[in-house]
Amino acid sequence: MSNASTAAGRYADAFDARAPALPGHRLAWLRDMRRGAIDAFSRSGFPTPRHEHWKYTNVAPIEKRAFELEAPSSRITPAGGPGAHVPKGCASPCLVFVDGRVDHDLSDVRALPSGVRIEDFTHVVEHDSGFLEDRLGRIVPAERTAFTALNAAFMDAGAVVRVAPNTDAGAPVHLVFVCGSPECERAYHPRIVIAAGAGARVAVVEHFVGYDDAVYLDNVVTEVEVAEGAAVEHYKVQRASTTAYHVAALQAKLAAGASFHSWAVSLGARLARHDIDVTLDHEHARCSLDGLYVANGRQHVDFHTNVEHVAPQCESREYYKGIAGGRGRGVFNGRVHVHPHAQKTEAHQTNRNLLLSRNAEIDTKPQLEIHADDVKCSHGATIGQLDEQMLFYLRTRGIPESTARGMLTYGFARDVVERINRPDLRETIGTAVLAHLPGGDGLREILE
Amino acid sequence: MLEIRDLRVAVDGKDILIGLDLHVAPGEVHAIMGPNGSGKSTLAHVLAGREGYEVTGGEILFEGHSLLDLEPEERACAGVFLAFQYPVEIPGVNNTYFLKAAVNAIRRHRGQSELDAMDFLTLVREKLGVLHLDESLLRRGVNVGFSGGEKKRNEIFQLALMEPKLAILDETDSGLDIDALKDVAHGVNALRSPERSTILVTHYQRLLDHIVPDRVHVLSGGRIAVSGGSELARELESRGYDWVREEAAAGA
Ligand SMILES: Nc1ncnc2c1ncn2[C@@H]1O[C@H](COP(=O)(O)OP(=O)(O)OP(=O)(O)O)[C@@H](O)[C@H]1O
Ligand SMILES: [Mg+2]
Repeated sequence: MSNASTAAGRYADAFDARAPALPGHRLAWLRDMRRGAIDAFSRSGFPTPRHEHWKYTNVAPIEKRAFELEAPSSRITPAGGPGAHVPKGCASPCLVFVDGRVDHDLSDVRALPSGVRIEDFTHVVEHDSGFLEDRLGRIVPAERTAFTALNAAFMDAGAVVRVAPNTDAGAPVHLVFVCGSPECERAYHPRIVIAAGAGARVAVVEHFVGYDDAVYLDNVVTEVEVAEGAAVEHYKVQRASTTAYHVAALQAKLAAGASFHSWAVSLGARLARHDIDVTLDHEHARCSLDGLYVANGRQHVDFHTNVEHVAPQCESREYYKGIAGGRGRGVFNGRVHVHPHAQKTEAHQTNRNLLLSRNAEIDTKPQLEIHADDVKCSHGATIGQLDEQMLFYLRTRGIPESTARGMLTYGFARDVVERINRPDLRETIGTAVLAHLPGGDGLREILE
Repeated sequence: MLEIRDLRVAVDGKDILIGLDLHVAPGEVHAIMGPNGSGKSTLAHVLAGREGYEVTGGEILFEGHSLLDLEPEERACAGVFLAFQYPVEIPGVNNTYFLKAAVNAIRRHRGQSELDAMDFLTLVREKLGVLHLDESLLRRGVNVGFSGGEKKRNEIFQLALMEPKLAILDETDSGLDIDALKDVAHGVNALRSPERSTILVTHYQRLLDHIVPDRVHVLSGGRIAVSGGSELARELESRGYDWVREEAAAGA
């Protein structure tokens, strides 16, 4: 019996109660994995600001809440239904999860090119567990953080995207998570596995949206396997309710000559934490990490990126921008680790930040650890404000101050949005970004 | 149109204008000349409503109403336009989008319907021709990567689109080649009418060959030191400013 008065004890008890109903309970390897994960969590508990990785992000508000770990039996749907929350532009193929379960009416994964499979995680656990046994936890080890451990213990929804060798999956795959139950405060633990075979190409978009005022926790783990010469684009659009918590770990492992492009935007949530890790342990692998974070009101957003240059002749590029207004708080920690044998590494990192108010705050920390001598590495981090001269110029042309501020704010974010390689996605995501920027409404045409 | 009385302006505690008077009637073109640092751009910025310039005395009336109480965007809507000496580059804000937002802000204020994309394009094409501006500049960020001359043409292009009542051109002629100078003059002259007035801040006679002013003023020592007709500009060109300073000193 655990100590139910601590958070770790609460989760351990909940696990004991919930375990038999979790997907794959009859599979010994999965049972063991979950058990190992909850034990690891029980030992570690939630991180505190004393942990180097959580210095600026205090997860005590998450620890304090007693989130429900399963769906309530009845389901009340908020006004407009969950369909109203599926972002426009999420065309087929898409897999939509409402309150932690696949919604078949809103999903469409029928007309897929041959060699492309997009399946519900629980379905794969039931019917193709061998595939998962070889992969789950191999890229993101359960015990990596307290949150990845919780995800491994409780994962009960999510998606598995598989692309056969030398196959181009074509249109981007949309994974939409509509979260937040109006009835109770829930924790969701989606697991996403993306596996691109040798020479394959695929783009996957993760959307997280939530009902207004809903209090919940998204605790997401995404594992990406990019085989030799394959190319994966991963987009993440975090628009959780501003009363919710969002924690996500994404990790990609690249084979020789593989490429990975991560593009992430964090707009919603009261507190959001994104860990993005890429391991380049085979030659000629390339990755680019682009991102934008926006913290308004009392929002707190934290990006921790980490690129491990293990093999020689790999390349990484990183371009992140942050905007904080109100009492918003942004954190960027970009680590690039060049291992001793990783000669001819090329690694470049840029992080630019914009403060819109006196009470907003952004902490940026580039962290380059270079242990090889024949490398090209650079980094730059800046924090600035809107330019008064630009503002004046716009206003002398009759543009009201608030609109002018909105234009300049979007102008700051624009080049990150333009790093989205696909025009239709750029439009969908650009619209979402605009909707979350102060003064962004009424600037619709700026996207054209 | 514009009535400036005993205007006193300080920047960072330093007095720049110390009692400037200027009266511009509707339909008139006034040239303001004067040595570097005499306060010409300061005057232009104060008229447009730039923060950081402290008006310590005097008043500015535009069509009988005080300009000093208005925000920069309100002045623009009222019909005041400043073509900047150094137009600022605004990366990330598309020039077409910016121009349309500006034109429609003014139209809204005037109670006119907003222009849609098609109507706006028609208007833009018409005005572009006059200024020989390349259409590709419209697709870039505002002034981003524009040459010095292109920036100045873009200012006059905006002037043509916004059709203000009072245009203030701060050294729009500086750095222009001969063809550009003619285009700019053409753009300004096209707007001349009995209802519109223009203030040209310039160092050179050559602009005034194309836009003939009704009055020429020399700003020196924080006020208008000398005023005259268009012949004053030619006199300055040959004699320089020293005699103005001397006369002003003798007069004071
Ligand atoms: N922000 C400021 N801080 C301090 N001094 C300033 C500031 N802005 C202007 N000045 C000073 O005010 C004076 C007038 O400057 P202004 O730009 O108005 O001159 P100008 O007549 O336009 O000169 P030019 O012919 O060189 O364009 C100068 O001495 C300048 O240094
Ligand atoms: Mg000047």
